[in-house]
Amino acid sequence: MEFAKRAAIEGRILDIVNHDMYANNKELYANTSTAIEVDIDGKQYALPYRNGQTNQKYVDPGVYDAGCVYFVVPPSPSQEREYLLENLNVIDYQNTNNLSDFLNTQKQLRNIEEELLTDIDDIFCPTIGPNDTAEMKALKQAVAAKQCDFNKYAQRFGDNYLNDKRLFKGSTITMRKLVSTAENLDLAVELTIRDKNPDVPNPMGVEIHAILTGGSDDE
Amino acid sequence: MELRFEETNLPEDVSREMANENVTLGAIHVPKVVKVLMVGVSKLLGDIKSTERAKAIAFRRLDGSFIAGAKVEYHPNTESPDDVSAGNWSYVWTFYEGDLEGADVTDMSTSNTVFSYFIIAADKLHRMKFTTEAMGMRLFNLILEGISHWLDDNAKDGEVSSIVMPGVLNASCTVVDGVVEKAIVPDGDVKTLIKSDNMMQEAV
Repeated sequence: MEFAKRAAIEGRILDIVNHDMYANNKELYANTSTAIEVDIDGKQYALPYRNGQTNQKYVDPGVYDAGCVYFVVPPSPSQEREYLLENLNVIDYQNTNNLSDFLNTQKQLRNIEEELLTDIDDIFCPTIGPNDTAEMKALKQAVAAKQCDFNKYAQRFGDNYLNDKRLFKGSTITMRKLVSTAENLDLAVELTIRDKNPDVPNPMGVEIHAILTGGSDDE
Repeated sequence: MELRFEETNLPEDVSREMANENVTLGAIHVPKVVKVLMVGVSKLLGDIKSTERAKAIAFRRLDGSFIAGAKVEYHPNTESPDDVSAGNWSYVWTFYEGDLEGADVTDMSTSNTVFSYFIIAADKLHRMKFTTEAMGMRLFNLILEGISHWLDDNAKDGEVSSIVMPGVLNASCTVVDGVVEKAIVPDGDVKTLIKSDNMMQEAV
């Protein structure tokens, strides 16, 4: 799979593929992280992939996949700027000839992502309930403290985003889900194991720390 | 009996047949492909028509057997045979290969240059694109076979049964002397594509 270009479109970073690449490798590119280069009346657009297997009218600009055919809905004149390739800040991996170029390109991509994540439309503040477990309460507090638009992180959660977001309506969370959610939100989760108090039988006498979200552990 | 194409089981049948081949296409989109087929063929024949010799295209199965075809032919005016503008054009579709005799026939299954007509028609009509030409051709064949089978199944003695798609086609059948007679007649704007080189915009 080749992602030669990436750009921020509709508040998300999408992989941009040309028409032939998309048509010949639909099993790879038919997903909501893809935008397809389309020529409409001589203008080059990058239009997001959308599911066209529904009876709903195709309204939003995009490439609607209906199986062996697909439909292109062009942007209206007022929407045009957002999808015109020449207006997009396209990160092109084809121009990376060495490691330095590649690292610079990665940095550009991170800058774009940071810009997107800090452009807040709607702050997500999960409600902390009386029955929340300690780990769930801590996660909710962390998310609330970030003062962020949770939807902007959707791409990091992938296809399971809505299910993961729904977890915040519950009062418990598994360790595995806590860690993956924290990683997607750029949070570090640390576990500390120590004696309950110095007087317990067979005290460990040390504190054991583990960073669950990656990074280095130290004892 | 007259049914609109969308009222028949054909859209579902084509969709199901494609699904059997592990290709998805919602039944709701099949009528759009029918219009692309008719407009593409009409525009193609309109471009290659000749006053010298009839031109035709043929749709065939993989084994070479004939499914359907279309033919355009010039008929000079008997009173002034040298005046090209005085003559008229006939444009017919048929399920019988013999009807194409005497014409220069372009075989859709082997010609690799004509599909551009369908690409253009799909784009202009519905902003639609085929993922591959092979998929487009498979769809066209399935649709034509489906119409042919529907006509066979619904032919009644002394009664005309038809499928209509206004502005696109009228497919009909009847039984004459115990033999099923089937026909597809291009309708409305699609028919006029044969006569003019710049009717595509009006047709869409």
